[in-house]
Amino acid sequence: MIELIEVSKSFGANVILDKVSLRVEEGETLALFGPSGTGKSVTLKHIIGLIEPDEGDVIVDGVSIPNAGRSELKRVRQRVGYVFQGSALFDSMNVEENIILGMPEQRVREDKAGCHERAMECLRLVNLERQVADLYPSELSGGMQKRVAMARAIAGHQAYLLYDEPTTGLDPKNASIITNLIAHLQEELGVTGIIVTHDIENAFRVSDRVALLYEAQIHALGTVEEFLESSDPVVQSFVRPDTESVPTA
Amino acid sequence: MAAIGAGVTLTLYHAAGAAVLAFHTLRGMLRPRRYYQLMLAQAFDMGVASIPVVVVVAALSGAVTSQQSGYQFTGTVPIWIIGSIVTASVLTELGPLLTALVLVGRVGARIGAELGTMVVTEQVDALRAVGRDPIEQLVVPRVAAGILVLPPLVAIADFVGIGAGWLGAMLTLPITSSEFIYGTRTYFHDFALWFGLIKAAVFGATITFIGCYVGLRASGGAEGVGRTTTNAVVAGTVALMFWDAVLARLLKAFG
Repeated sequence: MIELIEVSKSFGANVILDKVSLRVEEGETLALFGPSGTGKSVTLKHIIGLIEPDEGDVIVDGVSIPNAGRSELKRVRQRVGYVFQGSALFDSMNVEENIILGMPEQRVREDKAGCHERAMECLRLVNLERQVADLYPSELSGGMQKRVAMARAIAGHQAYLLYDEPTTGLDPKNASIITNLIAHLQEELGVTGIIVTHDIENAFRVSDRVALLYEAQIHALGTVEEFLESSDPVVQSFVRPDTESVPTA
Repeated sequence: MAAIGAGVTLTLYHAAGAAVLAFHTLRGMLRPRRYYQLMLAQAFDMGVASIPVVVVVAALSGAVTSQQSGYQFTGTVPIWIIGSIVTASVLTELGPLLTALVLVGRVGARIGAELGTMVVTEQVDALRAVGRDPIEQLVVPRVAAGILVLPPLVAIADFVGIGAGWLGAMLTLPITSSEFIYGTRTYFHDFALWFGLIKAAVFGATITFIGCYVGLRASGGAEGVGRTTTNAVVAGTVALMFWDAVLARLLKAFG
């Protein structure tokens, strides 16, 4: 389970999160959306301790992330897969090495053959050919890079998956492929997931619940149906952006 | 006054940040099994690839030193003193310092740009996210490689510099080979050689550490990385000059 308890975060005078509380149950997939710059990615980064909250607590797998020691934080991070917005693949490593990086260090040292096999299995799970393993990130398309990033995120049998705008920058076809892949991974692996996105249509396809982050707070939280039927003008402006102007924070 | 205060605050901020990074780097260096492979790859890139430019710079500096001292001293002091001047200059100053300055431009700038790019493209965050320590993965191997490669590079620079000084003197000055070698032997102390190599190791740590420090603090996009690269070169050069002055005092104290 992932839980944010009254998390506040400011950068200088800019309040990004203001007492944000959110709970994602085991096996659930939550889509988090909102206008640009409202702290969606910041929220995700709190979950794996890349950013510390000014106030509040973040609980992942029963561990308080802001209060965790180095080894405890490392253990939690190895249970969480993170797909970065720009994929964040390592330029100097080929695809296989990038995927292996998502596996626990000790396993990488002790079981090279096993890691190779797992990397190939991850490639299969994200619908990439084994031949891709030897390529470098610069030789891949944007959509393929996203898939490799997803393969890295699941390589260590992670129980949680965090997606930071997984379809941003992709054409509709590739965005749909990535969304299908997210749905497939949720089904096949049964992981708990949070998807930060602007792509409402695709997010609604794969999420159990949806949260709208607006003006540094969770403005609305509910099922996809509840969102679609909501009469809240802010929710409406996101669900049907063609009928309303998108509010800016 | 406000500008001075801000400057002092910024200096203290970076001093504290560098101290924390240095502490974690030293701690990481105590576990060589975890980083020796990455270190060897870095050492190859820093060391072997730098040899041509180091050789050229060392040869020119040795030759210029012998020419300049010949021009200054011919007819005023015994001519063999040129051998002493070339050897002393190359072993204690020109060898280590010029080699290090070459590496500030070649290695320090590259590390700053490389790590800066990794920061702005979230690769460093990705390392943390998979439970790896960026200091252990990125900083420790580079600093260890810097310490490892600078002394041999300086030894090569010393050899080439003195050789070029000898050749330059032979070709253009009224000095015989035995006079030059006499001058060289008259000056030569083991300690100067060792001191130059110790200095090289300190310079190697400084160049790579500063490249890592400024690289990990990069922000913004391409402009931020460009600024980081410049900072790595400027800060690295200033730090080298500082260490050179401090270590020169130590040389006097122990030599």
